[in-house]
Order: sequence, then C-alpha cells, then structure tokens
Amino acid sequence: MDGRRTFVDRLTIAISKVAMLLFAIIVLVTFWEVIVRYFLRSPTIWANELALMVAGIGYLFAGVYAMQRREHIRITPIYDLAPPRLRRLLDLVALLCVLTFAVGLVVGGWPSAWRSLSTWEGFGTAWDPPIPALLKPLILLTTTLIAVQAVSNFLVDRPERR
Amino acid sequence: MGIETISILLLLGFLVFLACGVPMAFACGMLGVTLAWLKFGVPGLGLLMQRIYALCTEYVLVSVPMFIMMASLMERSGIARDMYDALNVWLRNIRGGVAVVTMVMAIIMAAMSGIIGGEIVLLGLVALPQMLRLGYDRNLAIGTVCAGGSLGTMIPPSIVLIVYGLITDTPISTLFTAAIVPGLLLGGVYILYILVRVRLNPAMAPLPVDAGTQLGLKEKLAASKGLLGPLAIVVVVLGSIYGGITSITEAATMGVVGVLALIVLRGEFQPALLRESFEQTFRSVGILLWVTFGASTLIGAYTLAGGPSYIGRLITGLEVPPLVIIALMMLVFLFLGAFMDWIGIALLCMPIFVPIIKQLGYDPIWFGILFCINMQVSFLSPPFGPAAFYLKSVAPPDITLVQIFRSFGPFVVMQAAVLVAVLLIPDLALWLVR
Repeated sequence: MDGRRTFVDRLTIAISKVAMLLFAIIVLVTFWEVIVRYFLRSPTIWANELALMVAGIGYLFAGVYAMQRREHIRITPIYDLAPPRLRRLLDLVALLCVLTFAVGLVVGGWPSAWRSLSTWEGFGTAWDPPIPALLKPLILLTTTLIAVQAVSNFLVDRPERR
Repeated sequence: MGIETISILLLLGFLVFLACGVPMAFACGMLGVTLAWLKFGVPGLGLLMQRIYALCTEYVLVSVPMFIMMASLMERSGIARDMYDALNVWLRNIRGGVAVVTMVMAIIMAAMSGIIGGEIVLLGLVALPQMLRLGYDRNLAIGTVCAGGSLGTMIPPSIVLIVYGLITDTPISTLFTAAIVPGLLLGGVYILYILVRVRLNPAMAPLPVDAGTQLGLKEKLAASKGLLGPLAIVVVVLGSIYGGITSITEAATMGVVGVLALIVLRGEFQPALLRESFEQTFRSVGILLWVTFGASTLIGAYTLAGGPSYIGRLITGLEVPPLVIIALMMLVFLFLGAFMDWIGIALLCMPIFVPIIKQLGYDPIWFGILFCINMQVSFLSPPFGPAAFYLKSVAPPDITLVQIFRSFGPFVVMQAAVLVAVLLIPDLALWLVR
C-alpha cells in the first residue's frame, strides 16, 4: 500500500483525518449537556441531537476508511490458501458484491434522499436539525465512495505487483 | 419464487460468499439488495436505505463509539498497570494470586466499559507477562486473560446487550440488570476454578520468591490508590445509568471524560495519545457499523419477503417441547458464533427468533442474557474466536494461536455450564429485574 497510494486512497485518508474528530465533538457536546442539565438544571434542546447527527456522519465515513485499510470483517482461510489466480477471482467476487450493494442502495435510496435534501427536511423536534437532509444523501455518497475505493483496491492489489 | 426457495438460496449464497472471503458487510448487503430488487423492485431498495438511516439515528448506538474510545484511551495509559499493582499487594501471597488478580481486574474493567478487545489487550500487556515471569502454567495464564477479558460484554455495560435491546425493542437498562448475576457468576466460577486448579497442582502457579515478606497495612493501603480511579469510573458510568441521571450514551461519554481526566491527572496526557485513540475509534466504528448496516439490509429484505414468519411457522410447527426449541436456538448461536461476529448473529437471528420466544411465552430479557453468554463462548471458539486474536497481537511471539485456543478448553466448559444453568434456572437472570 505504501508508496503507491492512488488518488482515491489519498482522498479517503484526507476525509478520514477530519471525520475522526467527529467523535471528539460528541464527547464535548454530550459532556456539556450532562453538566448543564445536572448541575445547572437547564438542559439544552440541541446537544443530544447534534451528537446524534455528528455520530451518524462519523459512522458513514468510517466505513470508507475501513475499506481503504482493507479492514472490513471477512473470513479468509480459503482465500489465504488460494493460488494467486483464484485469489484474483475471489477479489472480483467481493468487488461485485460491493458494487451490487452500492448500486442497489443508490438507485433505491435516491428519490427519498433527494426529497429530504431538496426540502432540507428536519428531524421534527424543537431544534429541528437537518438530520434526514444530511444523513440520507450521505448514506448514498459514502456507499458510492466505498464502491470507488473498492475498485481502487482491486486495481492496486494485483498479485504480480505484491 | 416461494419463501422456502428464497430462504435456502440466501443461506447458501451467504455461506458461499463468506467462504470466498467477501467482507460480511457486503456479502449481506449484496444479498439484501438482490432480494429486495427481485421481489419488490426499486421501492424495495428504497426501504433498505431507510433501514440504514434508522440505525444512524438511534441515539443509544452513539454509546458504542464512546465505549470504544474509552477502552482505546485506557490502553494508552498506565491506569491498568496501577490497578494490577494495587490488587497484587493484597493477593500476591496466595497461590494462584496473580491469576485471581487478573480476573478481578477483568471484572472491574468490564464494569467500566462494554467491549472486549481493549480489555484483553490490556490484560495481555499488563498481567500476562507477570504470570509468565512467575512461571505460571501457560494454559492457565492465557485462558484467564482471554476468558476474563471477554467478560467486558457480559458484565454491564455491554454493547452486546445494547445492540440486542435495540434490535428487539427490549429495555437496555433492564437487560444490564439481568446480566449482573450471570456475569458475576461466570467471573466467580473462573476464580474458583483457578483456586482449585492451583491447589490440586501447586506447580501450575509458583509463589513469588519473596512471598513470605508481609507488607504492612499502611503500605497495602498506599498501593491501593491505583484502584480508586477505575472504581470512580465504574461509579460514574454505572451510577449514571442506574441512578437515572443520564442515558446510556451519556454515561459512556462520562466514562470517556473520566478516563481522560485520570490520564491528565497522571501526567500522561499527550496530543499523540488523543490522536491515536481517535483513529482507533474511527477504525473500529467503521468495521462494526458497516457490518450492522449490511446485515440489517439483508434481514430487512428477508423480513419484507416474509422470511421470519415462515421460519417461525416452521419452528413452532415442530412437535417438540419449547425448551428443546430454545436449546436448538442456542446450538444455532454456538455454531454461527464459531465463524461469525456477534453483531451479525444478533442482527440476522433476533428478528426471527425473538418473536418465536415471545410466542412461546418466554421473557426476551432472559433470552438476551442467554445470547450474551453464548457470545462469551463465541469469543473463545476456534477458528475465529476474536479473544485469541486480540491476545495474539500483544502476547510474546512464542505463544501460538493453537496454544491460545487449546488453553480455552476449561473456560469454554465453564461458560457452557453457566449457559445451561441460566437456561434451566431463568431466575438467575430474572430475579433482579422483577
């Protein structure tokens, strides 16, 4: 992987470096909420929902990073025993699974995601953060990024280059 | 295509893809998408996106990254080392003392956090070298670390129970309460086993060379300082949940803040420590959440196609006593647990099993605890028991995976015994929640 990072790898890593900090924001915001609610008896209307929104964005981008690092859980004994050509075929099977999943989600989810985004749909609470408006399109965007990253991995991980 | 054919094809497809080394998230996702599209067309696919969205907006799920972050901060501080020293001054003079210390540490850490990996890594770094240095029997030492570390998801808080509660719509704090007795029972049985084994065969656990020397009470109390921090965090996390002060997510976050505060107080704070643990959290979350997304896509499509009620009819149509059905479900968990992650099993099986449990008149809380004990077994089951791999990553290189798995034998037997006990005596789980 080192020394021959593709453009896609660099993009994923750059996005991930920022997205990692989202979980720190959750700690800050939630800690603040507990303090003001428990000690000052004045709960916020925004803290938990902000934490929720930030966490959702974090989960989604974390999957792209896991794909870049080839860390998604899989069972490999047969794969490890396979000769290089068969391995290539198994890589292709895995890639097709990722692509099918991504195409299916994007095609099926697009109408609803576009509706939420274009109407800037809120969460329907007092603070009404744009959770549907952001998360639904981001599900489709991150799934697409995972598929793009998977294609990039497939091209980079050619056995003869190992 | 009938639901029977669909069920068989899905199962076959799933097993074939897993065997091919396709990541579980996408093996499930691909099957879910294909089924939804064939059966319901594009609107069916839309529902799958909705399911992922619904998971993203579950507030209690935010506790998962918080528990992971807490553990990854702990790994980078000396908190566990001090806890070891504190317990060791009290127990060093009894035979098998270090193994007992390891187990007690495991129980305390299990009450701080709800995941398994971090705890095994810490025990593997802190306690295992001590046991090996003293010449403890290797199998005993390794088994103690891994079985103890797995208690992280058995003793509340527990992300296994959080996810179970989320999927089955069962109150999570009730699940936590119900897990207390079985969790402590399991820990207690381990400690008893250690004490009995080393009594029967003292060569398994040599005493330290300076075992005769007695520390004064003052020195012992001074060394016990190391316990204060971890116990304070247990109080903060569990106290916030049970005191009704905060939600589980907030309690987990308070745990993160607590561990951070300890790190700062101990003078260990560095920017690199934060950066590394944020990265580790991000990676673990990506892996865990996308398996969740993929599996919920598959089970979502299968539910739309009527799968769970088909299997329900199939199972309740069997002319066998209800307890046999429960026992069969346990066998399914044990089998799947040998090669699948707990979260995948929970997502794929619970929507099918729990309605049956309810229909048979059993308590889903009890079933959740049984599932949780089952997953304790799965953490130690070859060939993929995650406990072994966590330990391997920090153990001395001459300890092989084969040896690690071999050392699990007696502990798996004890887990199975506790599983049977809770199965036959549901009150072990339920008397605290009535």
